[in-house]
Amino acid sequence: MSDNLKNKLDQEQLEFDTSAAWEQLAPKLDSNKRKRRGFIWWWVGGSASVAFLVFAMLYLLPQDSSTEPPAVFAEANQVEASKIELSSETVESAPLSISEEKSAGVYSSDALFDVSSRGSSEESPVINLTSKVLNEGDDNLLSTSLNNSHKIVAYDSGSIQFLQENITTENASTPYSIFHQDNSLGVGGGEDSELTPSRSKADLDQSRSNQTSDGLTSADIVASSKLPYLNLLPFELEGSEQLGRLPEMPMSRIPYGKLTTKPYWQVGILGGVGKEILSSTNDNFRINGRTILETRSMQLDVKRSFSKRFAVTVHAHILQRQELYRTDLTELYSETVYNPVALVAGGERFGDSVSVLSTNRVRSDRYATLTRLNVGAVGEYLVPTRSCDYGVYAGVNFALVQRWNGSRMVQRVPIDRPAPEEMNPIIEDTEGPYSSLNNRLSFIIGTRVSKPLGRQLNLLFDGRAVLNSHYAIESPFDELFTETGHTFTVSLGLGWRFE
Amino acid sequence: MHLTLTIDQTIQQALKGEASAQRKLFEAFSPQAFRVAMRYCEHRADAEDVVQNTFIRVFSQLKNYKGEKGAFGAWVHRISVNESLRVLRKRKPILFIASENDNRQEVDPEPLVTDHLAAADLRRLILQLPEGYRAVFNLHAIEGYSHQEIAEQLGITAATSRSQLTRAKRTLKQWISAQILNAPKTQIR
Repeated sequence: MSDNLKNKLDQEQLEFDTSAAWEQLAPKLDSNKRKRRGFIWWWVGGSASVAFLVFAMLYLLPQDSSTEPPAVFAEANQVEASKIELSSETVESAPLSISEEKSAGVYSSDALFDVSSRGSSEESPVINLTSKVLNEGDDNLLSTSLNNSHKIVAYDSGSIQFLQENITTENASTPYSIFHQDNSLGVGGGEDSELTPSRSKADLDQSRSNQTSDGLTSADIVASSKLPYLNLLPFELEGSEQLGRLPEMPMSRIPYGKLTTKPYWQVGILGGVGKEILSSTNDNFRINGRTILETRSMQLDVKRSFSKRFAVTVHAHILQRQELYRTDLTELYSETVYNPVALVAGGERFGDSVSVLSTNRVRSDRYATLTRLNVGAVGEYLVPTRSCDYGVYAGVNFALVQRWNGSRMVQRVPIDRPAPEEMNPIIEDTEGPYSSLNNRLSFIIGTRVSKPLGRQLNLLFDGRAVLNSHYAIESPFDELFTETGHTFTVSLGLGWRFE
Repeated sequence: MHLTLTIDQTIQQALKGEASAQRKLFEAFSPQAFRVAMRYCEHRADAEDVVQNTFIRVFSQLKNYKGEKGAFGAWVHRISVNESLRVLRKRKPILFIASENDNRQEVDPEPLVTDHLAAADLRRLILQLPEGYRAVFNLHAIEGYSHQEIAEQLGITAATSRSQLTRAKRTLKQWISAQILNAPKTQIR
């Protein structure tokens, strides 16, 4: 019976593709070749991963915002001229202390900057500082004709002293301060001064050319003022905690590559970081510095392999993006400083203090977090090896909903000089609406490496790009804009595989 | 003679690591190994794995092959059977349906009459057998192993092998009868 049955069964013509089977077998025959191939795969995969990470760190991940060029502030805040305020006080040359009145810190038609802070320093008495942003057409200026001159002009209306300093400034609109010394005693101050008659601007200009500074430069004044500016506090980004260390897991007892020989399901969860690069924006920002800081993502996907080579994955993808909205303003402030070259007339000193108006560039930062929920599907081409499964995939992404959360942080931070003190900024949390989305469809390409950690557990490394996403967004700060760009993320996660 | 010499020469070349010679041997004997595997494995993918593993073993152990001329096919056949059993064991332990009567000499049913069955139908019926039945039936009724050899191969007693074979035959006979009566295949499956 044995021979009969065997002969009968051997009659069956079973379809078997020896060429295809040999193609699969050949790499496994030469152990050296096999080792080399695994080695090469490791190097290719590892090099690609490292290259991508380096690229991401160099070009995609947040750059140091301090390297950004200073922004030009909005037209409504344009300072057209500096102003001289005369307030001559005869004071002791005793230690000067400072009080800061910040209520006038920023005047702007922009509702964004209607936040005002008022504070006083412990060192209060003598020097009063007021900050103002002057608007065009301010009639109180004594020397409006000096607009756009890159000079600081010290103008002593009592003809007591001129100070002249040439300075260099990046902002042509706020180039100078004019010092106006006033004799508050009424002896020599003002245009009707008995000591010196008032002088025309032409006279001043001529005199200016003949006289030199007497050591009191604007920089000195500013430096000596000890302004209690706020420091730029490090802003802690939400959810920036590191991924926890993966617990040790048993290594696979299944020969590598075996898991992919049959169709399987895999549920994976991945978390990662990335960067969004906007290719175009259409916005009506009233601010001028917008920096996308970082992007984080979390992804849940379900994968179904249909063969050794092909799989389809559907995913739900939560993406969080942090942005910094930065606005730099130039504000004008007044301070009273000791005048070392006070006028001595009739045995009395006049003009021991002068009020100086000067400019100060301050910065306002706002942070916002965009949360977006995507769903999508990709088709994946698998390359199983003895150590890992590699795959490349492409598919579509569909944005379901998005919403902003923001923190408005207004702080006065000097840009041109170090901030001597730290003060708490004003922080206001706000939320944006759930944005209506248009053109929700975008495309995904990516690569994934799957490393078996056990019979069913897999370590997943995923790098993907969501291309040409196009969204309309309402930010929590009431801006409306649309953007088109690309999102790049790298993710690490775990997958549970079963048949 | 010429073919035998050619196979021997090819084996010698394969021993030197020549891929072309290995491929010739694979193309010559892999259909046979695949046919053997398909008797043991329900899934085609498993049978393909058996072929792969068989020839990995064949080429890695080729230096130990000292068979006589013409015995290479039998050697590959034996390895493919072993690999098939190994795959079955790896997937899940082979379940041998035991009973108290295993040690009792069972009456061997009448020989199977398979003349009216096509080879594919016969193989399909064999694959429907429980794994224990199928393994023993394949090893004894087709491969010609003795019960003692089967017992050593599968880690069971010779009596168990015998009883498994008897039940396998009885089951097959019922199914073949049903097949004759044109019973729907779905009932058999």
